[in-house]
Amino acid sequence: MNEISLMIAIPLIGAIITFFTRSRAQARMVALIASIIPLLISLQMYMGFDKTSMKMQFLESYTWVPSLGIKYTVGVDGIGLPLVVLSTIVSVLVIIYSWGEDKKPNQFFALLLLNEVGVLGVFTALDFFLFYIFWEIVLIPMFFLIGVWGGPRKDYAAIKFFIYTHVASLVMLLAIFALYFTYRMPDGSRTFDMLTLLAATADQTIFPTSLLNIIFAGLLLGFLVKMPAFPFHTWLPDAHVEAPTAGSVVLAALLLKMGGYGLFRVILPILPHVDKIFVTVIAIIAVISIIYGAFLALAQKDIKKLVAYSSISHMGFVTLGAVAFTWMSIQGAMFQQFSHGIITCALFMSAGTIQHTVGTRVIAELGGLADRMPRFAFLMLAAFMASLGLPGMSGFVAEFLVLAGSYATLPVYTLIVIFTSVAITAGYHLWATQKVLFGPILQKHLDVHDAHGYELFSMSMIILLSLLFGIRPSLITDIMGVAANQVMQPVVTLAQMGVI
Amino acid sequence: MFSDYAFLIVALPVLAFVLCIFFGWHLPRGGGPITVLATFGALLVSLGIASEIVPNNSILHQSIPWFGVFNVGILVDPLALVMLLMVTFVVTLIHTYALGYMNGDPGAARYFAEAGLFTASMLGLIYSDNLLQLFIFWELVGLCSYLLIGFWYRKPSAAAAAKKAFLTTRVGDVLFLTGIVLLYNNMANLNLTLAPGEYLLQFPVIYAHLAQIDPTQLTFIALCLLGGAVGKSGQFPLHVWLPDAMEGPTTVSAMIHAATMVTAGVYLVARMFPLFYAAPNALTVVVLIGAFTALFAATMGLTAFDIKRVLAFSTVSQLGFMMAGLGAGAVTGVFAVAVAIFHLIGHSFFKALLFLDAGSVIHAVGTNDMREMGGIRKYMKWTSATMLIGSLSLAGFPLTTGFFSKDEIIVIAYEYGIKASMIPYIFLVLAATLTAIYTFRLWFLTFTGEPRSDYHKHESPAVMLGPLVVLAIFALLFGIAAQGSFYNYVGSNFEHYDVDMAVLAGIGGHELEEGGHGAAAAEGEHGAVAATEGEHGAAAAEGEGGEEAAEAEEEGEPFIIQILPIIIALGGIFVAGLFYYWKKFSPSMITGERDPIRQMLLKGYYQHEIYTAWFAEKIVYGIAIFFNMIDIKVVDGILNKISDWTVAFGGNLRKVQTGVIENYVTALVLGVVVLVVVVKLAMEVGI
Amino acid sequence: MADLGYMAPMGAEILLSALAVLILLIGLFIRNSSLMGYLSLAGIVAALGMVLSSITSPTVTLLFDTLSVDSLSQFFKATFLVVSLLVVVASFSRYKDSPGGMEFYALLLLATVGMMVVSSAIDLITLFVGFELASLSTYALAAFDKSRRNLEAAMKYFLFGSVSSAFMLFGFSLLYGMAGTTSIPKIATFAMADFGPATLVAVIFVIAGFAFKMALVPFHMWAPDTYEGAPALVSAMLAAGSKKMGFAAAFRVLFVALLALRTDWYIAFAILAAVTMTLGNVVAIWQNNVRRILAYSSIAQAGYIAITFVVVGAAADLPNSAYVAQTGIAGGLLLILGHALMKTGAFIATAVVAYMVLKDNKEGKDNPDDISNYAGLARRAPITAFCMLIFMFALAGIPPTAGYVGKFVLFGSAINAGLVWLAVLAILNSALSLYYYLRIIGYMYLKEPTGAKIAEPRGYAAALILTLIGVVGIGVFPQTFIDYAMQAAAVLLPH
Repeated sequence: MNEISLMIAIPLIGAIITFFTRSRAQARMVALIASIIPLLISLQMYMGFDKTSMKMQFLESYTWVPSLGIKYTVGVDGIGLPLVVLSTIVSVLVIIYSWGEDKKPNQFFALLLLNEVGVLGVFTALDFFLFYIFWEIVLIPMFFLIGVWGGPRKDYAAIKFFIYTHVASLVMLLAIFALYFTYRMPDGSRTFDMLTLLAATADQTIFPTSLLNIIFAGLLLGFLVKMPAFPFHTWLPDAHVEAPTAGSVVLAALLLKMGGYGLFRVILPILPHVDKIFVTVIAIIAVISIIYGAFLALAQKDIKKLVAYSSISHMGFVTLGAVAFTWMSIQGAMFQQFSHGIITCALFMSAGTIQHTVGTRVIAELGGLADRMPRFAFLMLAAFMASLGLPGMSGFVAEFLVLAGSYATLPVYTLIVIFTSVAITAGYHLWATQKVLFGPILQKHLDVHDAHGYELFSMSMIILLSLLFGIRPSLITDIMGVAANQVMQPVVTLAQMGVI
Repeated sequence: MFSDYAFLIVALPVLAFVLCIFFGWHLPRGGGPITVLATFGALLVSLGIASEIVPNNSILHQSIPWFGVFNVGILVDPLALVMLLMVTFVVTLIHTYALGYMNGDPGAARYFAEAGLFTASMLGLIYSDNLLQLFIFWELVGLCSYLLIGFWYRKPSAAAAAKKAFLTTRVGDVLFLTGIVLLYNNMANLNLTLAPGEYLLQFPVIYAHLAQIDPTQLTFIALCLLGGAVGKSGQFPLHVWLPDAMEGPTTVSAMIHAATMVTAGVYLVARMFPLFYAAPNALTVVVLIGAFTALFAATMGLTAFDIKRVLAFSTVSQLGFMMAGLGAGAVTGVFAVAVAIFHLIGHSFFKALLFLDAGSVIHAVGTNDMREMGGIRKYMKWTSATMLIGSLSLAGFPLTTGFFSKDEIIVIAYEYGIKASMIPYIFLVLAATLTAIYTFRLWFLTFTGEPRSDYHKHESPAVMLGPLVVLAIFALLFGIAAQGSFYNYVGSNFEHYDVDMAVLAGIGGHELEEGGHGAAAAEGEHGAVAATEGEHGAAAAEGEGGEEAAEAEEEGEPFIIQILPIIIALGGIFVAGLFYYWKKFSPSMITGERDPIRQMLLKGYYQHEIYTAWFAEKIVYGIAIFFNMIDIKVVDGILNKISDWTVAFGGNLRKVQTGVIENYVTALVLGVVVLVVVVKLAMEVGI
Repeated sequence: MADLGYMAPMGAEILLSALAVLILLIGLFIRNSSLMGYLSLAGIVAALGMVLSSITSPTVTLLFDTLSVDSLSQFFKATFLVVSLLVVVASFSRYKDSPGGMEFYALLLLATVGMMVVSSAIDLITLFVGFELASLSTYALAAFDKSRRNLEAAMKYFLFGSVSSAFMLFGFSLLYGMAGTTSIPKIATFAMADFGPATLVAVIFVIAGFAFKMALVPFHMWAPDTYEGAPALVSAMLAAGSKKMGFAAAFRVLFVALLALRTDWYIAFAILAAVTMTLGNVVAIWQNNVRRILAYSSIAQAGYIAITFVVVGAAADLPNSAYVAQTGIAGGLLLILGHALMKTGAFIATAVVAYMVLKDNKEGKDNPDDISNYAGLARRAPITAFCMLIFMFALAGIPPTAGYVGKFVLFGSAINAGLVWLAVLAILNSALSLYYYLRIIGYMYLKEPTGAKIAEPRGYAAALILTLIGVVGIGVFPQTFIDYAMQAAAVLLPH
């Protein structure tokens, strides 16, 4: 069993053990260990990763359902690795943040671990069947995190989240079927191997554009809903508002990234072979998502909902950078995935901490918290600054790369985005921080105490990471640069890589 | 060897930031001394660098790769050097002053931490060697100003002012960012083969390849960058944040208005001057905006009663002068940069002085309102004396620093007028007059006459007075001492780069006048330079003989033009005296209380109403609310409708299942019939 | 009749029938239903062993070509045996010390035998006999607890069952009249189309007859009432077993005997499938009685399975018809197997809840299956709740479960056969079905419990866990099952 399988298996085992633990102390300790080990593994993978090669690394492949050409194939390249690292980091931090969870802690932590399993699987699976299984598995823990630990309208939110994203996944599944049945290996057999199928889409004789368009649309829908992009985003705010903090963090930091990952892994390789109209459509969707999300964030009264819409806006940059299809923009989009994954954690943690220390998330009822919770205020301010794209933190690098890169191919869209979104984004972030943290402390909040140590710890870790990658982007941009090249070139199958 | 430690100029204040934020709470005076020492260290390093690069007329350029196609680097050329020295020097004094001013404030540690970061950002901005890095520090400056203006965050007005400052400058930054994106893509499209260590956004590289970029593109880029400068340097129409920035501690105002922050915009234009020069019409916009702002802000300075607000408006106005000076470069070339930067530095001295004085007064009196002051001279000798010097310098009283710097700008504005249009010149002259008036209105109201309220009457501590004295000396003597050599040194800035201003002038469409000074200079050693740089050979020429050259310069102009600034200064002061010292007239004699113009001035041209109340809260927030409605009603609404329909559909079907056999049987018979029909059809059609 | 060796392939049926008789005989003297339980358990296990051992062995036909023991028959038999195995295990708790236990087991075994016969029958007569054998014993089972609801359910079931038999028989007689033989393979060789309208009538009535058992709309009316009314375990047997018997029969008759007429029937089935799955799901949303929900869900599932007919019908026009048809049938078989497991498990779970409600006999008593009784089940009966959870997700087709594998192959083959519209409809339907499955899950896990934790009866628990293992096992290691299904499917393909 190699790194990746181990990395996926350990949280799974951990989840089972955690589920049967008796006390909160046991539960969170087991969960912590079960999430730290994958973190170490992923870091060790990062160290051992050949940054210059486009090959799949840490590859594992076992036959699973030969009669259907299904294999258990996992591996990472420059597209997957950063997200794997992100997932393991976030999982650890979110478990630490939830240290004080006292409602059914064993199940709570077990679900968080289960979530990690699914996400890691998605980012490493190289077989569509396997990919889809992980893709769907992720829904279940999130459904329960929202449904059991959620807010007043948790049932509605949980079911909406599940069905909405499930429909999208199913459409994607149909598209995968179409790929699967249309392409035959030289020996006449069929395969679910991702790279093989994607490479085949380049062949007009196998996939005439007319057919490929439909397949492409199906796949695209699946990923855009997960992102989520306008107009498929409405499940997100509901889910976030009702979800517990840890749930929101995982949802925004990891689940949304699955959609973006899909863009790079599946959509972009096909993009050159389908109608050019798709480029326009996706670009428009991206631009609307960015602007629309920003404006909606500005309109929110609930700080968590504000953060939720900001996610939509930020993920729009991923779509834009991806569809702009220049080396720099793709790199930027990948970086935005990573950066947003980190920063959004701190944002949702801020909202969560406010929720349970002050007891409300309604911005109008908050104010002057900096007075009573200075440490928290410092971190929250830092988080919001990172999120509005303050230079020196990771968000800026990402957005700059996307904008500078996208201008080459999509000048108009890029300018629209810069002019409308940048100032508005700063607007709602500052507005929120000012209303929440500054001004005189309200009488009813005089007895508010500062956040717990474990919350402050995980938040400050995130701020540090954001700074680290803002100041030393090359830590992952090197990998992403290669990955971006790889995305823009024809797909190379595992066989052609000579790794299998 | 100092050059190897250039990074310390930023590193030291950052270190101070870290130390103060984490340990300042336990240190005396919030760890203020650390920040002071750090800044002072930066000053020493800058001096060290100066001692190395000035003699052999070289520049310092270090660069390391950052990520992708970008780098981080240090570039100390004459332009950057003078800025470094000025900022480190002035800020050291301000921090020292703050030791006394912030003493006892619970948030002192936070203050000195943020102040340290502020200094670091500004210094980093100054000696960045590429546009992206400059933008990064630029934003950090914005952040720090946000933090410092909102330092007393419990005051809603402070929090609001902080937000306003950040957002308004952010609007400018949007354009700045656009400019960078445009410039980057244009440079990238040139498909240059860069030597190792060269990067697309490095200033030397940009300078070297300006000539190859499409002029219209250049104009776009220049205007975008100008947008950034307008935001940071509080030029019209993005000046609204500056007066509100008074909400912070006075030392912060001093930093923002004198040394750091607002000067960044002017510095950006100066730094990118070759680009502006090569971009057709760009400098025209610059000069117009500058001149208009100078006058516009001066009028508002006339009516304000908050002592710091008056100074704030004067800052805006003076920045307008600098911008106008740069814009005049359309005619005078690089010489304009030297003039503008000279005014920038002179201004930083006396403006810092004025603010610290104001702070000293407020510290004692406990109010900003000049209507409650008066007669303070008796109790605060040092303060009033130093402030008098500062005011004279600001008003452009002969032989003070302000006189030399501002006068020179007016002169080149006149030269610009000869070639292009006289409007800027007229505006600037009027602005200068008003400057003299409101400056002394302030001084008289504050220090002369009888106390108009019962305030604590005590002089500030020595730690605060010390910096005042030092600054006063500079405000008085810097100009007369440094002008000539300064013009020479800074004027030679772009000779260090592979850029031919003459070619750029050709692209930018500035006709080169081979006028008197050009020829005169041609005889001098700087002939070559003069030949290439045409008009601004004058700069070189002056560099040659310093003061005398300056005289020679002015012989070019009619006598009236030469002495006009002096008349303006003295006249303005006299008028102010008539109103506020001898009390011969009072404002209400000219304008009644109800006079709309007066109201308008008092209300600051209703900018708050237009910007905040109307644009931000009505338009932008309105759109947001509208989108929110769309999202709930339409985007999500459609979805819910669909699900409702499905469920309702099921509800109707359900009714079939009655549990009564008869209905079942009918259904079944129907079923068979339907099947028959279907299959029959299928056979007919032969599907 | 000296040597019965040639009957070996039917050993399982013989064993079970003998066992049924034996149980009845012993019952006359010893009234200990646990003993009967163990006996029948042993018998079923043995039978299952036999069936599995011969699942890949070549086709054997016996009794004058009326029975065929082949991969297909064995696949179905295995399914049926597994279902009755689970039911028996579960009924250890249900009929522990009730006097009538032995009749229950006897009838159960006979019903199983009937189904097994049907799945082997390649002659219309034997097929009909098996059908009746299974039906009659299930009629009795449906009324077993003799409560009012039982009797009503049994009544309806009986009525419709007999009508369906009549339809079927009529259809068969027409076929016989035209083809002059009752042997399914032989009928295939006659050119039916020549008989014009008669063929039409024959086909319709055959389809209608099967449609009753498969509970396709509009022949489904009996199903919800019966599944709700009959004893939970019997409902399991009906939904999981006898319904599948309908498919077993339909596969043989339509794919072998009437393949030539596919143009006549596959459009019909396309409509039946579409209507059935949609109606099943949208109506299920409205139910508050969990067993009714399950009933409608199994109607919907029947709709999915019916896609098989459409695929096979549509396949013949395609270049790679054999492959398409084979995957289609294999998909159908996998879904049949998976659904059999999931539904059995689900119904057993309802039995546990009913038992629980009975224990804390509160107002819920009169309707033990009301969804409100499931509130907080996760706390009250964790094992049941967890198994039910998995079954619900499996029924909704969430991977990695048996339900997913079945749908995966079946819908995939539909796409492959170019039936995109049907696949899309099916997929939207299974998304829609999530709504009521999640509703049940919501009650079990998201709602607060209304009573104390109960000790879950061992029999039920064992059955549930076995089912769970099956459902997940197939999902995670589908290879073997897919291979069997493909082999079984191959049997039906023209050679």
